[in-house]
Order: sequence, then C-alpha cells, then structure tokens
Amino acid sequence: MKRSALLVFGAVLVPLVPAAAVEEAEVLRIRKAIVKIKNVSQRPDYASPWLEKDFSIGRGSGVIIPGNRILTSAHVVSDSRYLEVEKEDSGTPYGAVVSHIGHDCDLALLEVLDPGFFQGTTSLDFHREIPPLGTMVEAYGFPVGGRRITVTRGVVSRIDYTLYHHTARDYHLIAQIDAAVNPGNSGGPVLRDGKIAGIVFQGVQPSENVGHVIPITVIDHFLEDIADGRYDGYPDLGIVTVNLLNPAYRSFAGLPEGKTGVAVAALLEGHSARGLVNPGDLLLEIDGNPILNDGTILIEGESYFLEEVVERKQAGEEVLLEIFREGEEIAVPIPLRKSREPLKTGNEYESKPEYLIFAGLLFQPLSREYLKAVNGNSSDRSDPRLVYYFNYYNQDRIYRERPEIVVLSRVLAAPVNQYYSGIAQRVVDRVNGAEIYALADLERAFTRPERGCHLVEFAGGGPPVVLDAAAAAEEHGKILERYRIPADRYLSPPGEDF
Amino acid sequence: MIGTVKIYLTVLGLTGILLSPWPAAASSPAPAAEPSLVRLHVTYQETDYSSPWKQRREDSRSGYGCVVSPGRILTTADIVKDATMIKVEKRRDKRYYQGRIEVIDYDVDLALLSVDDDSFFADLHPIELEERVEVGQPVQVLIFEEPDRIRSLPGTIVKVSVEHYYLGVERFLTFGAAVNFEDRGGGWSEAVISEGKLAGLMMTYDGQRQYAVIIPAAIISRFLAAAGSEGYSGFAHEGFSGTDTLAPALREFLRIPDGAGGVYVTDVYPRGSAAGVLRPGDVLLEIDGRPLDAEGYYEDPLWGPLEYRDLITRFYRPGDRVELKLIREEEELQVEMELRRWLLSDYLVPPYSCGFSTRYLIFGGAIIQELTLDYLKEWGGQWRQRANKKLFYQYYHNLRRPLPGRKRIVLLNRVLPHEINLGYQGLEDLVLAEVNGRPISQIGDVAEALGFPEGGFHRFVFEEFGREIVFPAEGLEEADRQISLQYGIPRMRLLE
Repeated sequence: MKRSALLVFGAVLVPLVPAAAVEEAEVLRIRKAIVKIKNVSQRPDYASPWLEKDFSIGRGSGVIIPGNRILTSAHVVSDSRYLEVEKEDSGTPYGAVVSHIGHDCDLALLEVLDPGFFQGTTSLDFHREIPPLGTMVEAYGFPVGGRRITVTRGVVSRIDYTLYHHTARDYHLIAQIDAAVNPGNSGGPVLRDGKIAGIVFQGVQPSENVGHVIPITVIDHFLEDIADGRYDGYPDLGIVTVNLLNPAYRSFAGLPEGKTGVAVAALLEGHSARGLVNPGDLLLEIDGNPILNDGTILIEGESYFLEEVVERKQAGEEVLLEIFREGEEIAVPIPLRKSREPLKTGNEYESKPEYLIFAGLLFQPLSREYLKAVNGNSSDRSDPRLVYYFNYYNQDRIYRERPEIVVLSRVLAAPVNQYYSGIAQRVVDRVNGAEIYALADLERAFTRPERGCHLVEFAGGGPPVVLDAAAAAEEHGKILERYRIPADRYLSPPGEDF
Repeated sequence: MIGTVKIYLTVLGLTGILLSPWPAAASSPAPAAEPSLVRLHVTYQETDYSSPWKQRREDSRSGYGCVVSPGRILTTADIVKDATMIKVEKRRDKRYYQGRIEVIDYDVDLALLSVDDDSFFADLHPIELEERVEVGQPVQVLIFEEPDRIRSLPGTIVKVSVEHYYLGVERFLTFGAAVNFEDRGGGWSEAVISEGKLAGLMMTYDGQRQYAVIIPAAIISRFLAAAGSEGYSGFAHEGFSGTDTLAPALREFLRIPDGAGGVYVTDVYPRGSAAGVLRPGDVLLEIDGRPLDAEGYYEDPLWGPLEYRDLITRFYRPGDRVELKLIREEEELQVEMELRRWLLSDYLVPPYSCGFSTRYLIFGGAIIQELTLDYLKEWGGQWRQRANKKLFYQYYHNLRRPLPGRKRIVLLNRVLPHEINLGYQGLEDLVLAEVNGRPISQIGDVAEALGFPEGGFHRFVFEEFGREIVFPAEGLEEADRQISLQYGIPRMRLLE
C-alpha cells in the first residue's frame, strides 16, 4: 500500500476523515470487515438478587476475522439477551450469539446464526507486533452520533499497563492512541497497514482524543486460550512485591552485589506462586529476564513490569523464577493455574448473584457488585466495616478468618423479624453457634436452632438477631410469597468461578 | 441608666409571660442574670493534623459566659477550644480583660474561666442555677445587642433527652428548646434563664428549624461540683453500651422474666468502669435499685423516662460504687461496680485533640503520628467518604476499644522525599505494627524502639501486607537535619 498519501496528513487529528484521502480500494475492503453491533442486555440487581434490572440497549463495533468470526470487546456484548450485527449500509440486522467471552481482558467472539451474513464481507488479519510509539493508526467503527462507518486517525502515544475498566480489577497492556474515539467505537479495530493492531475498548473520557486499545498480545492470549473451546482466563502469580530502589533496603535484604531485583512482601491466596515463593524472597529473574530494582524487565529493549511474562502465558504453562533465598540463588518453577479468589473484587458478568433468605433475613456474600448496589450513587451508605473488609481483604489478611464475608444485607419485614427491620449490612460471625465462613454454611446452621430460637451473631459484637424457630419455620414461605420472591436461595455450584 | 434598663427588661419579661401558655406568676426576668452575663472574644489556632508540626492560621470566635461563682465564668468548651487569647468583656465596661481557662471538660462541653484582673468581678454577682425546669416551660435566652443592651429572646423547652454533645462523642442530658433567633445565629453558650436563674447554656442552634440544644443546669451543677479545689474530678462513665430487650424472642432466649425490662449489654470497654464486672450478653435490670425498662430507660421523678446513662452521669461521681442487678446465663446476680472517669487516653482513636497538639515523630522523612478523629477530618467536608477506609473503620467501629497491645493506632502519614527514603516516597496511611522488632502500641514506643537499631538498620514493619521500610542508622541524623531545613520543620518530634 502506498504510504505517501498518508504521510501528507501526518499526525493531524481529524474525525471523519474523508475516504478520498486514502487509497479508496483499500478503504472499501476494510469497510466490508467492520460490523455494527446492537446488544440488548440485562443485569442482575445485587440489591434484590432474585430480580433483574431493566434491560438496556448498547451499541458498539466489531471486526470480522478469518473463520467467519466477529471479534469485539466483551463489554459491548455482556449479559446479552438479544444480539444483532449489521454490515455497513446493508439495512438488514442479523441475529448473533456470543461464542466466547473473556471478561478479564474485555474481548469476545461472536457467531452469526445465518452464515449468509458473511457474503460480501472481507476479513482482516492481525499485525503481529505491538505498533511502536508514534506509529500512525486508524480506528474504524460506528461511534455514537453516526449511522455510517467512521474512521479516525492518530498515533500510538503510549504503551503501558492500565486498568481494564470492564472488570475494574484486571491490569494488562494497552496502547493509547490520540485519535478521537467514543463509546460506539468499542470493539472496533485499530489498523496499521490494513491489518488489525488492536481493538478500541475504552477511553480516558468519552469524546476526548485519548483512546485505549487492546493490543495484539492480549488478543493473542485470548484467541490461544479459547482454542480448546473454553475460556480459562489469565493466571496470576499473586506475588506482592516491594521495590529495591533504596540502597539501605537492598543491603538489609541481602541482595547480592551486582544483582538487581525486587523483594517479596506477601503471597496472595488462591494464586499460582503461593506455597512456592516466600515473603522475604528476592526475585532476580523471570524466565531468564533480569528484574530491575523497580520491578521491570526489558523485552526486546522495551520496559515492562515483570508480570508481562506471565501475561503472555496460559494456565497450564510454567514460569521460571530465579530467587535469592537465605543466602542462596535457586530456580523455582511456578506452574501457572487459574486463580481462585473467594472475594469477588471485580465487576461480574453473565453471573447470578448468590443469596440466601431465611425467615426474611437476606444474606449475601460481600463483593464489589454488592457494594455498588448498596451505595447507589453515593458512597456513604455502606457500612465502614464492609468497606474495610473489602478493600483490605488481602492487605490485612482478612481472608484468614473470613474466606467469604457473609453479610446480613437487610431484613424483609414480617412479624417473626419485626424487631430487626432496621438491620442492614452486618457481617455474620455465627449462626446458632456455628462459625460462618461461606454463604453455604448458613444452610446447615439454620437447621439447628437452640432452645427454640435461631441466634445470628455479628462481627464486632453488637446486638444479635434472635428469631423464634417455630415462627420462622411457619413464616418463611409466606414471606417469600408476600415479597414475590421465586426462590429462597441461589448458591453457585462448587468449582465454578468467574 | 440602670433603672431604665431594669424597667425595659421587666416589660419584656411581662410580655414573655403574657404570650406564653404557661400560667406562671409574674416574676421579674433576670435582674440577677443580667449583671453576670459576659461576652467572650476568643482567638484560636488549630493544628494542621496532616502536617502536624504546623498550626493553621489563627481565627476568632465570640460567645457568652456567665459568672457562676466568685471569680469564675462558665461557658461552653467549644467557645474557648484551642484558644491563644480570650478577651472578656462586661456590658457596661468597654475594656477587654484577659481570660484564662481554669477547668475544661471537652466531653461535657463546659469550661470555667478566671480573669487576670480580679476587680473584673466586683460588680458581677454569680447567678444561681435552676435545675427544675419542665417540658413546656418558657425560658429566656439572653444575648448582647449593640450598642449596650441585653435582649431576652423567648423560648420554650420542648424536650428533655440524652443526646450527643457537640464536641466529643459522649452523650449527656440535654434540653431541646424552640427559640427564635430572628436573623442571628446562635449556639454560642448563651445563658438560658428561667425565673431569673440559669436553666442552661445553649450548645447548638439550628436556624432553619429554630431549635436549640441546651446543656441543662443539672449537668452544669455536676460539673461545678466536680471542679473542686483539688482539681477537676470529672464525670462518671458507665464503660459499657447496650441495646434494648424489646424483641420477645430475645427475652425468651435470655430468660428475662416478664415484667422486667433490661439492657442487653453488647460492648464492655476494656478500660471502662464495667471491665471485669459486666460481660457482653448480660442483661442489666437495675442500677442501685432503680429499674431499667426494656429500652434502657429509668424513671426520673421530674422528667420521666431517661436513658440509663443519665442516671450514671448525673447522680454519681467517679469513685462511687453502684449495685447492679443483672441476668447472666439465665441466673440473676448482684454485682458491684466502681465508677471511673472516662479519659481521652481510654479511646483507641481520640475524638478530639484540642488543648494540646497531636503527637508526632518524623524519622527519615517518614511522618509518624497517632490516628485521631481530627486526622480523618483533614480529608475535608466529605471526610466520611474520602478518608482512608481502614482508618475510618477503626474510628467508626473501634473508637472505645484500645487493647493491651494496641492503645493507639500509630500510622505513617506520608514520607517527605529525601535520598534516604528513595523507594518509599509513595507510601501513605499505613499502620505501623513493629519498629526494630518491637511491637508498637502507641507512639512513645516508636521513639523508644528507635534507640535500638538492629544490625545498623532501623526497620519499620506495617500491617498492610507486612511490608517494611528500612533506614540505615548511620547518616540518619544528618538526613533528618537536612529534611528539617528543606521542609521548614522546626520540631521533628512532639511526644508530650
């Protein structure tokens, strides 16, 4: 493809660049690979977890890749109840389904129910490397405010780790471009030389000239992962490290002369390195890459956090850590496995909230979604204990005593519980003398009243809830009817995560 | 001049009586109160709790006081809090006199002042207290009005109850009154008068609702009695908290007899009166023979049902012993409890720091201080939402729960950047667990532990992830000297 025409325009940011500025045939080819997506989604109501909220309609973009698949961003197609794709200028929407979705990297693959959709379309290939800084790229999509395809252009201005807002807990590489993109662009491709260099997925703010792009390394990880038919997700080392920038600390920690690295402060429960790496270890190398004192490594001359090595691997693979421990250098292989965390710290999708109701007492596990639902628009309605447990679950080792933080969320008023109508957001310690470590523990505990009463005790002491057991048994079903609750519990089957 | 004023007040007083529904006999309002009312102009300066070596810019506030005994002016503690200077002014004398705090109790929001020049009191006579004021009774609130007048604003006592006082976090008896301050603000320790005597001091005033909260004379007289010649002995504090026993299932479960009331003890504070005497789960039925109902109210002869806390604070003194009748594990017991005072040092997180600066220590550029409510309030107007979540939780839920191994929460505020703390400069709001291998219970422990570096290093370990920072013993003094110069910090530690 001739470059000269592009160079004339340099790094000027101009939305809606007339197609005539670029080679027309190439653009026509590209346009046949870009699709419009309409998603009708519905999310559960974590405040009343037997209910769903109203459905909403969202729009985004997607790109056709070889194999008659459409690649887009997960948040465009999450919690879908009805999904439509449309080619530019065709006027005919086609039904589609999500075939694979990775929430932790905000990517998804769609299948179109009618294979006839793909007639007259093209598919785009991937550019195999992350574009260097300063590279000119083009974003194609259907941003808000337009019915027809839009192309904007800019340069890759930054490549760095950033929070992926979809789950609000996962960090991966992004490429930042200074092209104008807005929410409708999500899921659309960013191209370099006519090939996919990334997927547009979030911005710093809507309509500003800063867009975030999922780079090829993350897309590759996703596509490799689903090759076996199932998305497993990113494994995590779960090592909390501390820099060794301070010379006194380096000396104190015993870092050998001439070496660089980071110190291990803690290991997170449920992640790959736990049990293999110890607090106090010094990490010197990861897969042969020397770790600098600030926790970074160089890959082909570019600086990344050491986690980038793990970012490029799948669960089931291995990383090799070179560790300095008690005066010796040792090589520790870490088998990477899927992470498990009893506390759900990210936004959740395609999931049903867990809950259990007993005699009008509504119990739920603490999670990010729960806190969001309780807070509504202001953050002053959540109990400080819940907020503390949530934010310091790992830092203060709260998981040791409370793997799952079970909350008496609120009380659905009925005669049996009428003295407790005002109780909300209390962390449960014990029910009928039994320690409650997980929501499921409630089921058994409530089968064993003592002396004709159910006793619920809370963290931090304070007044317990005491219910007459006979009244509770009698009213339990009536309360569900009165409040139109179809089921008194939902507990996800064991072994199911994410 | 005096005669004219007296007539004016009498007319106002009569008007007040005519307008009020209270069929009281006509009595002249406040001839005794008027001479004893003074005006206070206070310059104050607060500490900047986020940079604790600094004081904020000074500011001023004004309020009222009244002479309650020879040479003593009574006012609310919030008027004279953090004072650098107190100017006292009498009505007919435009000179300013210097006031000095003799006794102050921030929990009960009361203070006694003296004046440097004793002649100040020559023509002022102490006002008497009137404790027996009832709901529905009219009262007068006295204020100065320019140029030279005392106004008496009419009000009515509408409520008697135990409420949180303005400054601390403790609760005492209050009067609620409907008062119209017209276009003025209020709640600056105005004298509230009933039949010429002091019925209370105004603590807060809500202009929108025209509702005043008043410290009653009954509390004031307890305060004055405690301010004896041997120093201030304070108020008794029960040292526990509890909840109601209304729920029938709870009563059944605890085997509380029908007809008995009872407070269900939920919390016994480790350093309070009830430590070692009461236990969580006890049901307190009687205090010194006075029964508590199922909501924890006792029956006051004048005011009817009031929270048990009022019984303790008003009728007992620190050192008194009370008989408690309770139910524990289904059996009735009698125990004796010695009532203590509750001191600032009994809190895990002190709810105020006024009267003295906050303790701090700067070491290697790390600013170490103790968590107080004032520190949380440095997060601004929305501090309840914006403050560090862990520190706010400790204040909210563990306010009165210091433990033997943890008397205070000692935290790293932030780090003043210097070569010696390279790599640590982003750290803030971490809770200090250990220094040089020694566990930290309060900030004095830090200073002590710093006397014992290990292997040439000072090691600080924090609770969060157990992370540590290390300073070399050598070169530290010089680094601290440079930091002190660079950042303009005259004192690098304040531990007393």
